[in-house]
Amino acid sequence: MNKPELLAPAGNLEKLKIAFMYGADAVFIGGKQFSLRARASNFGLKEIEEAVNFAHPLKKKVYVTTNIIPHSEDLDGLIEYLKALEAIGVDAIICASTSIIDAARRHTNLEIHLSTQQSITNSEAIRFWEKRGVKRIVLARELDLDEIHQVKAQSNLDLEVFIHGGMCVSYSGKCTLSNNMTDRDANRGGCAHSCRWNYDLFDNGEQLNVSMPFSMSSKDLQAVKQISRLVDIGVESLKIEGRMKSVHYIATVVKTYRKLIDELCEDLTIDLPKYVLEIKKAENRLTSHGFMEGMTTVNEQLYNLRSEQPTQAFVGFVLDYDMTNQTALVEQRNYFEKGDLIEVFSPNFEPISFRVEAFIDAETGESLDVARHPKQQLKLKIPIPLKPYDMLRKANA
Amino acid sequence: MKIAVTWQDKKNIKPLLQSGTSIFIVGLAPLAHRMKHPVDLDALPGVIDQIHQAGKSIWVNVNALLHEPQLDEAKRAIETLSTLNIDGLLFADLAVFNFADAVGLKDKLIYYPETYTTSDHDVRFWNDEGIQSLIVGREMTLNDIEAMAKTQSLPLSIVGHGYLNMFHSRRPLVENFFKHTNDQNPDDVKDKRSLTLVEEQRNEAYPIYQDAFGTHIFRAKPLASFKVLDKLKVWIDTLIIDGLFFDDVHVLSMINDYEQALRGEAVEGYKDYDDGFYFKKTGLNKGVKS
Repeated sequence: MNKPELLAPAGNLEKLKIAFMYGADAVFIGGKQFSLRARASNFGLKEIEEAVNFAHPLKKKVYVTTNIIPHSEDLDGLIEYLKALEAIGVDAIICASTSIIDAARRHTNLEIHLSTQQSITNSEAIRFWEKRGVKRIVLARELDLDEIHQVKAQSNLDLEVFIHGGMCVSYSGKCTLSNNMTDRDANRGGCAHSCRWNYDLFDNGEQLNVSMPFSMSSKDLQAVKQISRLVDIGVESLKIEGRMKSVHYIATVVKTYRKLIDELCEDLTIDLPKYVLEIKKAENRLTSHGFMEGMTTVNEQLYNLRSEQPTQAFVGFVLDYDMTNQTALVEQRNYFEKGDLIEVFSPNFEPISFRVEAFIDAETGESLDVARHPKQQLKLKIPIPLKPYDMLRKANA
Repeated sequence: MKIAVTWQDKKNIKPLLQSGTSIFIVGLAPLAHRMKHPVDLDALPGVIDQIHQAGKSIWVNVNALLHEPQLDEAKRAIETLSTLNIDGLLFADLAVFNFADAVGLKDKLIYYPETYTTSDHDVRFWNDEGIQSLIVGREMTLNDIEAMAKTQSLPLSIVGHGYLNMFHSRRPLVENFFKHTNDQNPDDVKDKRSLTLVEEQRNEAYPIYQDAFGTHIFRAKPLASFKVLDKLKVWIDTLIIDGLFFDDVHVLSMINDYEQALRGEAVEGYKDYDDGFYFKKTGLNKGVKS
C-alpha cells in the first residue's frame, strides 16, 4: 500500500511551518501574482523562497498556486514570475489556464499540477493533459468514490483529491455569479461567495419558498470516513482546503488526518468516531462527505446558516518553554482564566490536560488571573515539557 | 459575420431554415447541456439532411461535462458523428477532443467551455491544437475580445444573444431545498423552466432550473449585441443566438433583426436586454484589473 501525500494549505509562513510540524507532507501557497488568493497572499517571492528553504531540509514540498484564468491584460510578467518560481525551487505550480500551463512548459521545467478549477471529471480529459506535460490532476470535487476509483484505474497521472474544507457548490471554474452580481471575477480571485447568499425562489411571480430563504450553500467537506477507501484506491495526494483558516484549524485538521493515514497504512484498528470528534474541535462550520458517497442530498446542504462553534477554544500558542522552571511562554489567542482546565495540543504527543494556576504578563511581570488580550505574551506554570508551536485549548469548552 | 442559432422545435423549423441564419447548433441528447430541443443520435441524420438541404451548416453541440461512466457513450457518439456530414462539433469536456481526434474530427471542433477562453494566448493554444474555432468566454469586455481577435489565428465565435448561463452545479439544489423545507412538492418544481431566483438585496430575477445535469442559473437579463455589432463583425466570425428561453417566433425575429443590423439598419425593441460584459470590466475587485 502506497501512503498518499497529505497536502495542507498555508496562508502565511507561520501556518506553513505549523502544517509541516503537525504532519503535512506538502503545502500549497498562493503567491501575490496569478493566484486566486493573491488579494490575501502573504507570499512574495522572498517568502516563497523562505518557505522552500524551510520545507526542503525536512523533505517536504511546496506547491504554488498560479490558478487564475487570466485575460490578455493579466499576462504581463507571467514568464518572469514562473522563471523566478523555478529558480527558487518550488516543487510544482498549480494551474488552471492553458495560458499559464503553456508558458510554464515553454519557458521552464516547473512541474505542473492541474487545478480543480478545470473541473476534471474523467480519465480522457486527464489523458489530454498528460500529453501536454501536466504531472498531476486535482480532481473535481463532484466525483464520488466509485468514480474516483474508475478514473484512477484508467489514468497514468498522479491524482489529488480534496478531503477537507470549503466547497464550491458550482463546478469549479464554471461559475460567474460574482462577475454578474458584484462585478468581481471569480476566476481571477474576486469570488464574492454569492452562492452562499439568501434568495427567494419564484414561479411566475408566486414565491415558492415559504419557511426560509432559498439557499444553495454547501456544508464543508469532511472525509474522515472515506480516507480508508481513498488510500485503497491509490490516490497520490489528499488535500485539505483553507488557506485563510487559523493556525489551530490547520494544526488540528492536519494532525488528525496524519494520524489516520499513518494508522491505516500500518493496518491498525481505526477508531473513526475519535477522529471525527478531534476534527470537530477546530470546525466552525457544519461538515459532510460532499459527493464522496454519491449524489448530494439535503444532508450535504447548509440551509439555516447555523454554525457550530469550536468545542474547544484555542487559547494560547506556545512560543518557548523553560524546562528548569517548568514555565511556558505563551501568546494569548482567546480568553482564559486561572482555574480553567486546559489541554495541550502538540505534534509530539497526545493531548494532555492541566489546570491553570499562576501566570504573569511576560513583559511587565504583573501577576494575572485572566488572560483577555489577544497576542499578549504570558508566562504560565505548566508541568508538561512543551515545545514551540504546541497549542493550548480549553478542555471543557 | 455569420449568424448561428440553436435548433428549435422541428414542427416550426421551416421559417428558420429559410431565414438568414447560416448555422444551426443542434444539441446531441443526452450529451448537451442547456439546449431546448436536443436531438438524439438516431434522429440526427434526418436533421442534418434537413439543414443541408436548406443550404445551411450544422454544428452539433456535445458540451456536457462527462463523468467516467458516460465516457463509453460519448466515445460511441463521436464515432458515429464521424460518419455523418456535420460541419462543426462544439465541446467543453476535453475527453471529446481526444475522441474526435481519434476519428479524424479534430478540424471540426469548436471549443465551448464558457469560462476558460479568455486570452489571446488561449486562442493561439487552440489554434496550435488544430481545431476549427473557439467561442470566447462569457465575461469578456470588448477590449478582451479585441485582444483575442488580434491574434488572427483562429476564427472566433461568440454567444452574442440570449440568456447566458452563470452557474452550473451538479447538485439537485431545487429538489433538495424543497425536500428539506416541504414548502412545495419537490417533484412538482424540479424540472420547471419558469422558476426565477431573487437575491434579497437585488431587484433582479435570475432564471433557474434543475435537470439531469444538475442546477443551472442564468443572467437576469438576456444579452443583445446590436450596439457593438460594428466592432464584433470585424473580430468575430460567428455570432450565436441562444434560443433557450425563447419561442420559435421570437428566435426568427431575432435572426431577422441581426441581419438588418448587419446591413447597417437600426433595430429597436430590445429595451429589456443588456450589454453583458462588453462594457463591464470585472477583476479581483469591482471593475479593477486583477
